[in-house]
Amino acid sequence: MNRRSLAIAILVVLLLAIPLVVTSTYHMRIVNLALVFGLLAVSLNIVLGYTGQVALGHSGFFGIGAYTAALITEGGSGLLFWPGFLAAGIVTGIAGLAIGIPALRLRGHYLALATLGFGEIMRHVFFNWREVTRGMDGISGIPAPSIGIVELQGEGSYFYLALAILALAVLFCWRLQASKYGRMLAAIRDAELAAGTSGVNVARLKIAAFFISAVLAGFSGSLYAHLIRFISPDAFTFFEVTAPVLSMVIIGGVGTLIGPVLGAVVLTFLPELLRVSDAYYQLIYGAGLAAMVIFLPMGLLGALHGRLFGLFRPRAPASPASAGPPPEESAEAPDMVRAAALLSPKGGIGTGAVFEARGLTCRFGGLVAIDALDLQIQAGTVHALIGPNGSGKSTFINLATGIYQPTQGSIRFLGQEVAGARPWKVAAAGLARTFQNLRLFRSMTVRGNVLVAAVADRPAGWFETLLSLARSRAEEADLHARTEQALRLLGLWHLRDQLIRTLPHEQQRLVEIARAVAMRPRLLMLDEPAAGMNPVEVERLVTAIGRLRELGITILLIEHNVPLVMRLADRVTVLNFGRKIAEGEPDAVREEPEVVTAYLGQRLSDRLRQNNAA
Amino acid sequence: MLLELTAVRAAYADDVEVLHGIDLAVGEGELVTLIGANGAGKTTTLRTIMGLAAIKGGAVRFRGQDTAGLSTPDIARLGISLVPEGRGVCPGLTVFENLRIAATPWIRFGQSIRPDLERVYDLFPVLAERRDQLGWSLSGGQQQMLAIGRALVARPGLMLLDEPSLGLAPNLVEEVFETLKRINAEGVAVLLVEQNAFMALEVSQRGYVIERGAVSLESDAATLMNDERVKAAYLGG
Repeated sequence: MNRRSLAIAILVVLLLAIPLVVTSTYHMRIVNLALVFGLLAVSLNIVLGYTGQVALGHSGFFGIGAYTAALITEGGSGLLFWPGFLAAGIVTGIAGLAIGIPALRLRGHYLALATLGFGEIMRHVFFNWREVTRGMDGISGIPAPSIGIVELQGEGSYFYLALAILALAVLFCWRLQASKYGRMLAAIRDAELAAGTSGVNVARLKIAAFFISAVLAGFSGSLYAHLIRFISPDAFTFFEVTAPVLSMVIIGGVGTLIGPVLGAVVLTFLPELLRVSDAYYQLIYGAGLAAMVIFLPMGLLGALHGRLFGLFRPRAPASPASAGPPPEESAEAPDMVRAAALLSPKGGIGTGAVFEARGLTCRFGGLVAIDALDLQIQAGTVHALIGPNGSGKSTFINLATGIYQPTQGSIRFLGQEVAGARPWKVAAAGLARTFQNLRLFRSMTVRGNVLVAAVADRPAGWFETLLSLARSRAEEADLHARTEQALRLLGLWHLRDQLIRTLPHEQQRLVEIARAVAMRPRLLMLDEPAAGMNPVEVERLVTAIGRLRELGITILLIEHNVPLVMRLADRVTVLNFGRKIAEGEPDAVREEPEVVTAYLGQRLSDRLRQNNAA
Repeated sequence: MLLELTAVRAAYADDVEVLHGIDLAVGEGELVTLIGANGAGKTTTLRTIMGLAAIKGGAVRFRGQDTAGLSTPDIARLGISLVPEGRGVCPGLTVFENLRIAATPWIRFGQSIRPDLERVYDLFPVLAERRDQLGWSLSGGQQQMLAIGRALVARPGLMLLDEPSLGLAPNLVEEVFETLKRINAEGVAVLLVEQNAFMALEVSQRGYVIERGAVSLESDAATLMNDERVKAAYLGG
């Protein structure tokens, strides 16, 4: 038994002994409240920490759960606790779906305000819907829970029930975080656009996060009702519930597994410790909160990191070797046979035009970014798209990958209309891209970034994944194998455990390409991959693009490094003010007078001609 | 010397030392280029001069004054202005407002900003046409011009530029380097960080090669351009 499991065993024993040690009913009640709020904090953390959505309506969910449980069990036997508990989860879950849908459109402050409004609305419903909620009179006569014939009458026996439910919730979160869904949620949190174009169904996952969070909040509401045995609307306000629970999550550690529980314990007990000074206790409490946020910016869990026998250390290394210099790259070339086996485009290379835009137009207000553009990309080629800054090149990629909606025109990819489709649908169809101004998942390692986008042959569902069944484990192994090949292909394997932010710019660009390649795309759109690279780095990029071609990936290349374009491209299209001004073989295009004046400039044009002659 | 760095060591917030003893100097009216691989410490050097990265050892002197302990605005007031990588144009301000904020160090003394604006609009006529347009709506090239113009309005003795050609169309890259030559000819010293080392050295008088956080080579621009090692590593043959 290693130190970590020993420490966990000791912790479990200590937890189980709490009711034997704490003899005062009053103090035991506070312990139990900490467990109830711990569960609510865990629930908020799923939306706030894992998914990065600021939601301020948890008092509403908590109240719906409490009222549902109270109405079902009121005046009845303690055995009704269980149906009431389940109903609380279900009803609140439905409310969570209702909130999750607007959350798809709203972001940041707007989502915060909308959810805040939801909490307020629910408070008024509890208060004014007297026929059901009894208004200010509240609901009393809520029984203590029973298990079989055992009634959990005292605070001590209730403790074991609440602890067990909280432990199950934490276990669930642990599985969720460690699964592919946990990675996808973190990807949404770090870079929502890139998550979508990497094939993550952003809409479905956000709704799922709100649903799961709401179900857990409903459970905690039910536990609350059966602990206090009386509920009234003033227990479910922003200041009674949402604000403290938000503080618990932030002080405990946003996005961590048990930080929120720790925060709940600390914040529930802090007022008790401060009771010594009745007059100033609110003041000290407030100042204490502010001090914790200032001095423990990573939360309590961050402060405990690495102490207490590693009990609070995340199992996966969070930042291995990030302090030291990156390990040297091994000179060995990737095994192209293995790479081809795992990374060849899904559905084959294809023939003819894989991509065709017709009459594509995109206007932003009065500005015409793309003007009646026709563009065909032939399978297996490198097709370059060049033109002055602001000529519509990036807009074109955004239109093709579902980020912008075209004003007019059609985009057919592999015979399928994709204009206006959601980014993850386009990604799933086999169209991948990189971003000009890097959009990587910054909290993750290099490997984690690529894993998000990797596509397995036999994906596992929610149930199999959360229970880690054979199929899910096989999928993970598959994803890891493909990720390894994608990283080796780009010469990044030695950096796999580095955090993204510790890498220089050039390597971050290559990670973007590796992430796209792991999707096994038929067509890959590269937006200025060589920007900020020196000639040596550009050579590495040329090698990498050569390997992508070898795999059979068709490439659209946007690039200002014209000599690079001339070397790589089979065909070049030149845009100016959103219109095509030239198209053809590279050598022919660079001689067009309009291209020289609008884009190349005389000097570069002369130099290219000299190079060609030499 | 206008600017002098002696054995400067610097680190970012996470205490990872990036510069391990940089020695370099820029004279009055000089145009000097720093070249080196990504991650070698070029940007950090500029940020250290500007007081944006913590100095762990050595000294940065501008016109003989040690900048240790000075804040970034103080350093800007001494006469150094930075054109950051990615341009750093304020997206919600108009072209005029972007230029106007750079006058902050001196405008309260009642001096007119008009000659400064005229100088910028003369260098970049397109900015005059778009003086009331918001920063975000400019193309990449116009934003780069605005960033350079803004640095000029601060009336610098030394201008630091970080990758001014990044993401620009070739004809604009040419224009930017021509403009730098003009600005330099008007008496502003320039320290330039640039991946496009060939074009940068062509307009420079001297250059430094930075490798792994230290200067590995220092010479006049023509010598660097003919150095076999520099050619192979940074000029692309």
